[in-house]
Amino acid sequence: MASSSSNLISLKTSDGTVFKVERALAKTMKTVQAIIEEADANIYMIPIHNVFSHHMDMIIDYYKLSVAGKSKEFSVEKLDNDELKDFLLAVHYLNMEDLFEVLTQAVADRLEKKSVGYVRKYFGIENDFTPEEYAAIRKKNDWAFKGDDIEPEEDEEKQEE
Amino acid sequence: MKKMVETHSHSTTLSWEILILIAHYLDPKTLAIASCVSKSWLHSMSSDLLWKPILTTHFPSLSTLPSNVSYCRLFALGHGAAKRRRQSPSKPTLSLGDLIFAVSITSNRDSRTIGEFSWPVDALQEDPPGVFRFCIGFDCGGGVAVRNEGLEEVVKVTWNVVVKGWRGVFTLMDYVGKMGFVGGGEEWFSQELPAPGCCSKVVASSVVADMRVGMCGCGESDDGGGKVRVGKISVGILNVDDWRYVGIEDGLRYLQHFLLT
Repeated sequence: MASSSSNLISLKTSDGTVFKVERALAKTMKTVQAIIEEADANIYMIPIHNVFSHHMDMIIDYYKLSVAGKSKEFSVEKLDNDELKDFLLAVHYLNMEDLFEVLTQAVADRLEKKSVGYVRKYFGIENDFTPEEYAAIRKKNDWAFKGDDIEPEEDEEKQEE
Repeated sequence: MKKMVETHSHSTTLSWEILILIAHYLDPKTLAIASCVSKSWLHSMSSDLLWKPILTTHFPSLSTLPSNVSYCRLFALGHGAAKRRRQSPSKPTLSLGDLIFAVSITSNRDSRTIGEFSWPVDALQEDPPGVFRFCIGFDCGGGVAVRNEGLEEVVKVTWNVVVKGWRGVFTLMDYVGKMGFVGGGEEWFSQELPAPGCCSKVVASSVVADMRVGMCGCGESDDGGGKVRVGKISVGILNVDDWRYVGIEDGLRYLQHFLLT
């Protein structure tokens, strides 16, 4: 079983940057933890694919805040939608439970009360309903579209309220 | 913080697994909107697995209903029902300015007019304010003077409400009763009002047309007896369940049933 004598684990991101992180932080990354445990000898450097250095920066920020009991102060507001999705994917790859929950909630918050068109665009989904099918679905879920806080549908979809 | 290199010009695609995990964090409205995105989303975003906790949180009493209906559908039903429960009555389309009250008091014996009045309702005084009760006082009395006889006489009292322009008429009171002609006395007339057609009497509360007529003395008649006239009139719609006059809006809404087609 591998056991590093030092308390720091080296992680190398996709863009080639090496981060020396505390063992405790590496432990929150179940993927990394599995690699460490499976290795026969000491591991000096663990490559983490799909994770970029700016992701690691945020991960370390989150870790520091949560250790200080201030995990609620962690915010991803400054990330745009795509950046948030990428970050979510990175954290998902690393299998970090707490941070993944935080990010999933963040994505959900961004989708809150948005229009169907917005959600489609956000996830890159194509509308495969016929206009009649869509109208029927819309009618069934009409209650969800009522309220001042709901974003109005875009006209380009050519779907009537 | 270093911004990501703009290598991706397209939207990042999230795996299905992640999408479902995100779905667990969505509020009911957003989840329903998400189910309109595409066919596969319709299937996943309506799943009982996602909706059961939502239903149990928002409408716990519905989650025990035995049904083969999806939790998603039950939620939609519960949401609609809750909304209807909360609904307050809509504002009346009639306003006081649209109405005219016409009151007449005639002797039942010889049809002699004791008093005949009509007023635009918005010129009347609400008494108390905010309540569907209006008072009119007459200086030196109004209507025809009658002999102060001290006896009671049977009179016919009518109270009609007319929509300006004669667009509608409703008789609130058409009553035969006794009236004493004593200066300073007050007569009180009350007549049951019909329940609006949409609800039977059992469901709608009971209201009556309420009128008080006050007489006042006004000098002497030729033969030495005193004369009295109508000194003041008040009309209103009274709820007999709690003995309060209904509010202005309630009164208007009530009359709307009968005045507007």
